[in-house]
This record gives sequence, C-alpha cells and structure tokens, in this order.
Amino acid sequence: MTKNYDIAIIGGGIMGCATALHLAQAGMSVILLEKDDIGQGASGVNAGTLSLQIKRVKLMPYALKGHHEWQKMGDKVGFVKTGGYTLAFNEREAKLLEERMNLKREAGANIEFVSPQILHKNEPNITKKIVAVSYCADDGYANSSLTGQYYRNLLNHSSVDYFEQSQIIKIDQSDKGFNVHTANPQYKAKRLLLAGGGWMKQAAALLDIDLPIQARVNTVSVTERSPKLISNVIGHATGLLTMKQKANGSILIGGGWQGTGTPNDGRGKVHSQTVIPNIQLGQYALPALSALRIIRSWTGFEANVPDFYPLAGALGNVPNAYILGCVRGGFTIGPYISKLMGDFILGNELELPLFDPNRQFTQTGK
Amino acid sequence: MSDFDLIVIGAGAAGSRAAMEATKAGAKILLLDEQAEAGGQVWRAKSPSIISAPKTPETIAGDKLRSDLKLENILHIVNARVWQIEKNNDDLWNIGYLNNGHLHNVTCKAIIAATGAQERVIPVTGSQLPGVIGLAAATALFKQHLTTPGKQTIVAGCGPLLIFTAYEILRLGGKVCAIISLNSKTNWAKASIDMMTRPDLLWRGATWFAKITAARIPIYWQSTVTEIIGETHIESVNISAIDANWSATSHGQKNNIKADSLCMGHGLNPAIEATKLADATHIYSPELGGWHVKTDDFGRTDKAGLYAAGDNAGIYGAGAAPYRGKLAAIAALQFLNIGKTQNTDKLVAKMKSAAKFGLATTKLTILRKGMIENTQQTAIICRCEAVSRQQLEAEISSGAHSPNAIKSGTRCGMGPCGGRYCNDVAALINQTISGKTRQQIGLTTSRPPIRPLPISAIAQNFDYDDLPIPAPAPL
Amino acid sequence: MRFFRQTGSKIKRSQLVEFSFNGTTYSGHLGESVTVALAANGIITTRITHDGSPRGAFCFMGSCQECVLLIDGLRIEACQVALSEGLIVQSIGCLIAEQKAKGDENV
Repeated sequence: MTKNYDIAIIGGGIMGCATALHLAQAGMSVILLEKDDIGQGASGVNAGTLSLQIKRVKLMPYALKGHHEWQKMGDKVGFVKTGGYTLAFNEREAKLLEERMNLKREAGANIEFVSPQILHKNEPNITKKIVAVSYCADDGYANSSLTGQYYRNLLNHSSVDYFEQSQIIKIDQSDKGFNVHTANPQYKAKRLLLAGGGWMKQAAALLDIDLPIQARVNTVSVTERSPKLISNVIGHATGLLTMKQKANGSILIGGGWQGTGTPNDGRGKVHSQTVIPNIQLGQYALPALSALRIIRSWTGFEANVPDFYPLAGALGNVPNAYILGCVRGGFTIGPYISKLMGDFILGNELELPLFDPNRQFTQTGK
Repeated sequence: MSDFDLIVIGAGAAGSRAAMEATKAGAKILLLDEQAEAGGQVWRAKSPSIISAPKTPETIAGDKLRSDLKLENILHIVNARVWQIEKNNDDLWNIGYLNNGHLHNVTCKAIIAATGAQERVIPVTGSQLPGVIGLAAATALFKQHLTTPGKQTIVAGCGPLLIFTAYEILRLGGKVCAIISLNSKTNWAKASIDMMTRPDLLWRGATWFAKITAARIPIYWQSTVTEIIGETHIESVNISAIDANWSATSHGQKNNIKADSLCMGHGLNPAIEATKLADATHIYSPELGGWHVKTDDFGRTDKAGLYAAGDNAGIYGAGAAPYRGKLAAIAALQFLNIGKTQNTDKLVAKMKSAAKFGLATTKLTILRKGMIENTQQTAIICRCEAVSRQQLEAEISSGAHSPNAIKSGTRCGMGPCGGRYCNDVAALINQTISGKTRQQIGLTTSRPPIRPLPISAIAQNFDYDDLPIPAPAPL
Repeated sequence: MRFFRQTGSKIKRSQLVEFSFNGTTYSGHLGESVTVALAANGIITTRITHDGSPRGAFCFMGSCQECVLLIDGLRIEACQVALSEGLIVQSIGCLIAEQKAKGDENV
C-alpha cells in the first residue's frame, strides 16, 4: 500500500524546503517533489541580495524577520552583513530615493541618508557623480548558489521524503486527499502545498485553478575574481542595480533586468538588449569594473500577481490545498514566510498575517 | 531585414568551405573566427613572428585555404569572439561578438556553427602544474610558433595526436624522453586497417612512427601517467601499465621519468557552446567524442535556420570537415531559397567515406571505463576554481546528481573557462557514483557569454542619459 | 625550465623587441604570442589560484583562461595577444600585491 503522507509539497525551492522542514519537525509526514533539482530555480540563481532598501514597504516586517533567518543560516549559505548604499546620480533619482527610503524607514528599516563624502570614504571606488545616497547597516547578501546544497543537507537529516527530477503531471482530488502523479510513481497525501516558484501558474493549473501569475525573467551577471573593489552592497534609486563583491572576489551584478522566455519553455534566456545596460549601469556606479570581464550571465524566473503581494494561504476552492509563492523579495523573505506557512497548516497562531490567495487582484504600480 | 543571409562561426576546415560555397551561390554571408587567421586548429597559421619556415602538409593545405578565402572575397572577420546567440522579435538570429575591444551585434536568417573541437585531458594528481599542456595545445604551439614546451618532454595519452606531437617535437629539434600510450600496438594495427581509406594519411602516420623509432624514443605501450610530481612546475612523471579497461594495474610495471614538460591528451570533445546557447538538441555518442549537436548528414539541427558543420557535430576529423561544410551550406542555401537545388548524393557519399578515417582515429581515443579510476581524490578537476575529485564526490554523494546542482554546490565549472575542461570529467565521476548514463546525466544549462566579455567593451561610448531605465519596482 | 624556440636551418624569426613583465624588461620576437615570449624567458607560471597553487598556459588557443594576464591594463588571454615593442604585461597576482603594498588591506 502506498504511504498516505500528511502533506505533499510541490516545489523544492526555499519555500517548499523550508515549509517541509518546519512541518516535519512538528511531526507531519511530508513528501516533497521537485521537477528539477533542489534549490536550482530562482532560489539558487538570484543575485542573493539581502537588502531592506529594495523591499516593499508592506513586506518590511517580513523582510526584517527574513534577515534574521539568513543570519542564523550563516556561513553555510555564505551570509554576510556588509551594509548597503543606494545611489542617486541625478536630482530626479535623488527625489525618488528620498520618497522611497523615507517610507521604508517608517516601515521599520534602519535606513539613513548619508553624504557622498561618507560614501566615498567607505567606498573609494564608487563614481564621484553622486547626488544622494542612502545607507542601511543591516543590508548584506547570501550566496544563492549554495541554497540547494544547504537545503538538501537539511532534508537528508530530516524525516522528509524528497524526490528530485519528479515533474508532476496530474493531481487527482478526492475526499481522502490528493493523488499526485509523476511520470512514474504516484504519491498520496492528505494535504497539498503548491510552492512552485516561477512555475506556480503551471502547478496551480493541475488543480484547474487559473492564477493571474506573470513570470519575470530576472538577469544576473558575474565577473571573474577581482581584487577588492567594494565592501558594501550597492543599489540604485530605481532598484535597477544590485551589486556586491563576494568573498571569493567575483562581483555580482543584478537589478531585475528582463531576459526572455517563459517557464513553459524551460529556463529563461539572457537578452543582450537588457544585460548590456544592466552591466553599463554597474560600470557607471563602479568605473573600475572596466578592468574586469563578465564570465557568466543567467536568468531566473520570479512569479508575480498583479498587486505584487504574496500568495500565501489556503486555496479557497480546493479543501486542504495551500499555496505559497509570488513573494516579491522571496529570497530574503522565503525562510521566514515558510515558517508562517507551516504554522498556518499546523493550525498554530501566526506571528504575522499571511496573504489570502483568494483576494481580488487589482493592478498596482505604487 | 537581416544584416546577413548567413553567418558562419568558425573559419576552420568546415566553416571556411561552408562560407565559400554559400558565397559562390550568391548568399550575403559573414564569416567570424576568433583566431588571427583562418585555418582552425588543424591548419592553424604561423604567427607573424615566423618570417619563413619549412613547409609541411598542414601549412600547404592551410595556406591554400587562406588564399581561397581571399579569392572569394568573403567578408571574414578575424579575432571575432562570438559571445551571444539569440533569436530576436523578427525571428532572426542575433549574434553578439567582440572584435578588437568593440562589441558588435549582427542579425542573420541562418547560422552555420563550425566551432570544431577542444581538448579532453583526464586529470591526475599534479596535472594542473605549469609545464603540463594538452596534446592539441602542443600542436598549436608547434604550428604557430615552432616552439617546444621544454628541454625534456614526455608525450602521453591516446590517439593520433600522441604520435603527431612526438614527431613534431623531433622534427623541430626538441627532445622526447618517452611516449606513454594508452593504446596498444594491436589497437594501432587494427585502426590502420580502418585507415586504409586514406593511404596518403596512413603513410604519413607511418613516417611519424619511423622517425620516432629511428630516434630511439622509448614507447610505453598500454601505459598511463598516474601522477605528476613537482612543486612549482612538473619535475617528473609516474607511469604505470594499464589493464584492458585502461585502469592502472597494481602489479604492472611502474616507472618514474624525469621531465620538464608533459604534453598529455585523451582525445577531443566537440565544442558545443554555440549550439547549446542556440538551444539545439545535443546527444552523447562516445564514438563521436561525447556530447555533440544532433544533426543529419547536412548539418541540420532541430532549430530552424541553425546548422552545424565539422567536429562540433561529432568528431569525424579534418578529412570530412570540408564536405560537411559544403553540405551544411547547401542545406542553409535551401532554407534561404538561394541558388539551384543540386544532386548531393555523391557529396554525401564522399563525406561518409572521408569520415571513416576520422572515426578510426577517434576510436583510438574512446575512453575505457577504468580510465577515471586513475584520477586520484586529490586530482584537480576544475582548474579555474581548483576543485578536487574529493570535493565533487562529496557533493554527488550528498545527492547532487545533475550537472547544475554539482556546479552550484562545488563551483566546478563556475570559473572563467565556463566548465569547458571540467564538465566532461565531472560527469565521468558522477557516473561512478550515480550509475547513470552520460545521456541521463545531461549537460549544464547554457549561459552566455561563450567567452569572457570585457566590461571595457560593454561600457564603451556609454551615455548615462541613454540608459533605457524601466519604471521602478513597486513600492 | 623554459620553452624553446626551435632554430632549424630554414626557420627565420622576426626582430626582437622589448616588453615588461611585472616590472622587469624581457625581449621576445615581434608578433609572437605573449605566452610564448614569457615562456621562452622561463616564465611559465601565469597565475596563482586563490588557494595558492601555480598554473601555466594549458590550451594555447584562447579558451582555458589559464594565461590571462593584465596586458596594457586589460585582462586578456596572453596566448591571443601578439607581442609588440613596449608592451606592459602584469600578472593578476602582481596587481594584488601592488595594491596591498599601497596599503589597501581589503585586497
């Protein structure tokens, strides 16, 4: 007889793994199914920035808790608290920076405005063409390429049964629970959590649910190893640049510039018309980049709904089915919101509220 | 409107022929090559520092190819390094390349990738030391610079490059201390039967052996290098006899040979970065050098408008390469609706006949399954990031089985060479633990740039106000 | 150890020119690759890895990245650069050492 798990989790990124571990620790029998490898989607290929300056105002309490989780994960995920500067190169950007950072500070982020002199004292290689700067001492980064290794090791030492290269092709629902079909075996579970990351729309479609999800195709590039050029995480008032120098000397350049492709076509592709300006913006901020070479650019899918807030809660029309994803800033917030999700499934009291996935979506730009 | 009908990437034996064929038919073409002169590896040109030197069959064939290209008035850009291949919104191919410090973008309807092959070296402890170079590397050094890598050179590995390298060192006036051959004499005898299709080349090979014999160079048949000793550079080499699976035997003869240089190679891998980036399907065939882009006889891949010619579509060797170039050009011209249809049966037959010789030589380099056992735990697999076999095994044993997962966890293949020299070996090690086939293990996800891209070129003539800054992220 | 430019009777090479490597002047033949010019002068270690082990040129065709040096201020594969008079060549390791000497402790 097939084992009837307490819960089946679809997706082995940060959210799927962290929720699985939380539930298993509380005594649930958990099966986790990942279509590729653990932590190789956006969880493993994002730029790794842990910056409160690029988090959404309403998500700030979650980001603050998320930072704390990453700090606890520590060396194993390459966590470093460096501090972070966000730069404005003209008056328009300075105004944007002031508006945005003030709101984020009011939401609890430890953000201050500093003079260009202070920036250049700490970061002498940053361009002198600076109009305004904000600083957050709590900012830092983790090494996202270690996400898979980190969670695989934790899963190996837990009671979670996990299977990689296990694409779900069908999900049957009955009053007893769910029958989850992969190309070969089927698995039974009383509950179901969709944590499919960039592939969430496809995962939800297996339950005949059409979610208004769009996948963004975020681009990241990395240089060869270099002597020290910067010590802090560097951002841009528009949010279109994140830059940090890793412990090994390589410099990672991101900022959400869009590649091409959709989750249906496999992995996304780097687009020369966006990766070039992304690197140009990085070089404008840090002129010394000119001496280095880009050795690799890549993309990762980030799922979003129209209001850019998470889907985190019970799916209204499918009993015992839950969803967790579409978290803007998901790398930072992921380990924390997964614990909330776990608590929600366990019926525990929640430290912070989740985000009803059955809400009406309205477009939001602000 | 595209800039070109056809862009050919690589001006070696296959690419040059493809370019000439397409030009003759009236197609607007661009030939890009990353070296300073056409000819590829087999017909690599001499460096400008060589004013004159004795001619060899390779230099004669190479000079002819270069003069033919000039006669056809082909738009041929040298020192052009393709970094990106993608489809644009008009369903045209967009190729990004670097040339003398400047970035260029060109569009075309069809691509022929003729990117050739690259060296495979199965590492042992010490193989990362300075003074250890590849066999193909050695031939590049000889052809381009008439220079030998030391005073006392050991030549090790398998296949025809092993014998050619030893012969070239002697011809140039250098000293070979020993030849360490994985192949047995019988392997060579059997191969030469298959090589009868090209008596001229077989005869040349015989002259190489004759010169080596006359110079009384010790040849250790059915032997392998097990360790390279040295602190800052190679000082000596440990060798051992091998069994039928090419694994060093515990009871076999062992030796330590002093040397200041080692040329070592274990066959060639197709160079597939370009076709991978263009999303074509690739397959694994040991008899064709491993992973190669999947094509029909005309070099058609499963991507519309993408063709492959030469060793990147399977190691058939230099003899077949011009025919493969011509066939790919014919297929591309058909796709482009340029020129007349022609009967190609004879050409296909000629290509297949020429391929027999190449396949026989490639056969000598098919790795037997014991070969990877000679790679110690301490051996450096990823040269760029200094990742050892031990580190890879730990990662694979913890459950990371796909090439992407292994790369993420260990940094193997994350350095500037892009995994070109370690991916194949990492997969061999993966096999020993996971028991999967190479086809099941698969390849890492393709990422541009194909070669490292200088930021100085990206940032050139950049005006901040021209930056296409999209709307800021939601607050 | 060093590389040997072979001098058979019919081999004629271009004139010698001077270039510098990590501050020392050497000579090599005009137009030969910087890798060969260095190796013929006995410099076969082109870089030191992050864990301190030496590496030298390996592929001689611009793909292995082992001979990447700072040539006239840009990082490039030395095997792909033709030697010219007065070329300033530096190893990446030397660049880092220089920065340390200047008092940059972060290097």
